[in-house]
Amino acid sequence: MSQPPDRSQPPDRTQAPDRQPFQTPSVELVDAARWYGNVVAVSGISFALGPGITGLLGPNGAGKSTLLHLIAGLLRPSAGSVRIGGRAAWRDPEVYRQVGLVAEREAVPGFLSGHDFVLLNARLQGLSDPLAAARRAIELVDLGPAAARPIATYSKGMRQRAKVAAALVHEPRVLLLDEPFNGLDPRQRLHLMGLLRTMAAEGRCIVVSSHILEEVERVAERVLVVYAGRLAASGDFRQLRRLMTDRPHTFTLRTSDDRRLASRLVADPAVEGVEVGRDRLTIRTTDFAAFTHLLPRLAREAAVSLFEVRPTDESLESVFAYLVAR
Amino acid sequence: MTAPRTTAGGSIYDLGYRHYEGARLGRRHAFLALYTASLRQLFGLGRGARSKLIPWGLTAMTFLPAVIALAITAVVGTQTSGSFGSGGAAGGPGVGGPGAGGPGAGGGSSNPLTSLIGFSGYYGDVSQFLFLFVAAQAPELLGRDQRFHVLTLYFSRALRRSDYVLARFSALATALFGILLAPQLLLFLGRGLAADDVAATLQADLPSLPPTVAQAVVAALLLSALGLAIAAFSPRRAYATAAIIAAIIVPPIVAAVVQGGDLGGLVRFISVSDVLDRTAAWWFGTPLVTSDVSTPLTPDRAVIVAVIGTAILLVVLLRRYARIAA
Amino acid sequence: MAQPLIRLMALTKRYGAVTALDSLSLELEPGIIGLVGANGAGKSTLLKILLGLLAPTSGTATVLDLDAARQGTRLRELVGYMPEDDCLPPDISATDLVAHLAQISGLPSTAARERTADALRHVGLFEERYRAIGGYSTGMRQRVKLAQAIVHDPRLLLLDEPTNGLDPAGREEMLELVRRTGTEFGITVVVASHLLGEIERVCDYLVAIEGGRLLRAAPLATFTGHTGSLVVEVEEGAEGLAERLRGQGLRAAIDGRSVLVEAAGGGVYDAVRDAVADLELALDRLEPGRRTLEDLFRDGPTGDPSAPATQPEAPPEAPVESRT
Repeated sequence: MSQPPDRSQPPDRTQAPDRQPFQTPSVELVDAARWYGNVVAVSGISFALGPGITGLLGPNGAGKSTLLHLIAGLLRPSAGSVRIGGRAAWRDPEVYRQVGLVAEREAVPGFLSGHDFVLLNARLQGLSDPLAAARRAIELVDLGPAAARPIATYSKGMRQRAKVAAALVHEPRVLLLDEPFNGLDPRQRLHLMGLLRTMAAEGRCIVVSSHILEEVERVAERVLVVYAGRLAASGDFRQLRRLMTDRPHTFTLRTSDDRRLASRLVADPAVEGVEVGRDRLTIRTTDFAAFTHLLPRLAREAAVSLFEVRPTDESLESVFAYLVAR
Repeated sequence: MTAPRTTAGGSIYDLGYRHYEGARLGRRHAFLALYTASLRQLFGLGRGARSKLIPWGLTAMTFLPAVIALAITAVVGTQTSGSFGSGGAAGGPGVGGPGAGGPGAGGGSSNPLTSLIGFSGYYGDVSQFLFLFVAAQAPELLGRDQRFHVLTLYFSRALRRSDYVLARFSALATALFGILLAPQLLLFLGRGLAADDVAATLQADLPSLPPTVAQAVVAALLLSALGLAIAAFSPRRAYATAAIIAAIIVPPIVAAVVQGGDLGGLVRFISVSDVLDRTAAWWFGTPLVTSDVSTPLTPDRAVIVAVIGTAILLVVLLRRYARIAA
Repeated sequence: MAQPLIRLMALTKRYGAVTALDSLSLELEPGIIGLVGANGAGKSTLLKILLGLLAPTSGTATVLDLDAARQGTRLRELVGYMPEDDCLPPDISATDLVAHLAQISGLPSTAARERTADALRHVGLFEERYRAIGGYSTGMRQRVKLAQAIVHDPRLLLLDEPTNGLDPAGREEMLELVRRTGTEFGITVVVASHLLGEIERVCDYLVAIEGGRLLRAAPLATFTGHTGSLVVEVEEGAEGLAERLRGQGLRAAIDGRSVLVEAAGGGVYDAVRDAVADLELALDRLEPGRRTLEDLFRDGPTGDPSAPATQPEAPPEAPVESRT
């Protein structure tokens, strides 16, 4: 199966720790592990992330929350290293300034107003102008009118937005979000996705953990898949799918002459199986690249029009299902 | 269910979804179902041994005086065909009087021990166990549904909010009524059966029954209303139990401390234990021997206070549940 | 003529100064109905009214031929509700809880027991059903919530965010259950959800409300129809392909790795095929562009221009957007 991305050399630990951040990967884990007695929450995790949006996926209990807390420097790795901009993350105030975390389970104090909550975080971060920063953050998440009310009166979606505002009030370079879309209605989701894309374009490293794969698919450039505390896969999920050579790809075709095309396709070694249905053709192939190049060429030679070509298991959902089913 | 597919050799039965064409019994059945379930819950039926400990332990205690009296009677034998009903009693704050007066007058038992346990004093003997039962079990009935938001599941069914409350209330009242009356019935029957002249003894004791039942009714209703009204506002079990106990034992203490004067006397109006002691005195017509004869809470007024008090507490309880979020 | 399953007429609910529902008129036939709306748009209020738990300020809600406001108790015998939030006690088994709730819905005890066993089987709870709910995973809890909603064979099922908290595998299973419930079990299902992708997959009718007013109510197909363009996804070289096609007089736009070609007559398919073959590109996907529900929300409250802008002022007899 897929391996974690190969890094050419291990991080240079001999250099002084006050090197400029962000010439190195924004987030880097090397063989990181965290256990509680005999319970191993995560182990052997290695990856490096730069600017952009990364999706963190995995079944419940796979270790995603633990991983996010490790990256945020709130948990100490039991083994291996967790570095933000080259600095070890655990208990480093400088790292806390660079990282924002929106945790799913953590409650917010209900008696504070949204504005005060964000302001509190701004102050805790030691910002020079906490009031302005808080205002900006609240604007960004579109919480303006409700910001004066106590959080206890907020709906789930508003609570969520308050947490996001608090997490980005100090304009962190690394933003970690655990199920950020929970409770948001469709428009709020779109808004948040747009916000994340904007922030990623500014050079921030954003990690989004979510179960809603169709949304992760749209917003994340790459994914990290965690399963039973181990890293099962990382990278662009389409590339991951290509790597799954033990599973043939399936395509559904609608053409002007299924049988004629089928007979030409069957002759090619890239094609493993052909099924002629009532109004469609189903093709199985083990060589995605070869087949996708082959198809238009063969269709033209056979003078068959292609009306529809659909890979049936290219979605992140399929990839994910394969990865965790092993 | 569709007909099974059958051949001479075998049948395949359709295990698909079946629609329900049977009776739908509506609100009444729902009420009864909740009532029954509440009764079972009160006595820990269908749960582990631990949930049976307190209710059955306390029930045993309410039976204890009757059992002791019967045991003594069995050993020593009843020496009289006279009434038993006017025996005095120890225990309970300021209640009970020696012999004579009211229904069931007649020669007392010549056995000094059995004269300690009588119908008129029975409530007083076991009242503290009733208080403990309410304090322990009333939160049991209401707490869990509030804490875990189960009320949503109830209110979205064929059950009104008031039905929910009244079903729980009826169950608790039934339980209290039962554990107060049953031992006394046992005593009544046991005394009669153990006597030489069964019929005469039974007949002599009979006049004690109506006041016994009346006291059981009043005590059950008032204590249930009190316990549930308090438990309704405090889903956490420990707090609710403590609050109920406090509501019962604090007023008499306050009244005793604030000796004399109007305040002390008035406080007794909200002292459930005082009210019920006096209602017992009223039913049995026994004079009150207490350290505080200056209270305006006379036995006749006590009955009215009990009725009004129960009504008020029920209204509080119903209104609480009319508003509670679900 | 059969009455519609749900009929709302000028349904309005006000809480003091706040108007939660504003003159909603709607008729719904049996099927799987998606209910979407912004938070605070009135979805929960609407569900509560459909359950007969809230009386409207004005207007009527007729569900299963019963007046929801006046015959609430009777109505709730026939309606199942799966709440969004946690609502399960931890110290009782699924079997005991569901059987108890079945009786509270009016089923006699024997029937309650039998249907509980069936319902738990249908939702996929097997040996776990005898263990205390406190130890269940999120997926199992959602199943218990669904089981208690269908145990009394309701004719209408209201599901509030049924895949909440479930991981992808769990969501898949829950959606499949919802689909089966609506089709195989023959129960009308109303699914309230924020996840448009799920609604597209499972529902055949959509009700969208915004700010307490009806935004759209129509078969799902009308929202997700073809856009009239072709989506051509290539592994790489999208720009080159677009240029080539434009050179042939076709309108082509780029969207990431895809080229959107305006479908202008049958010749476009071959033109695309040949262009891809000539440029020796890898054809990953070719399909007609489809609108998604998201477009409805992306475009703002006015949405699709063909949609009715407001509810009709007509007298109660006039139906709104009746389904085919």
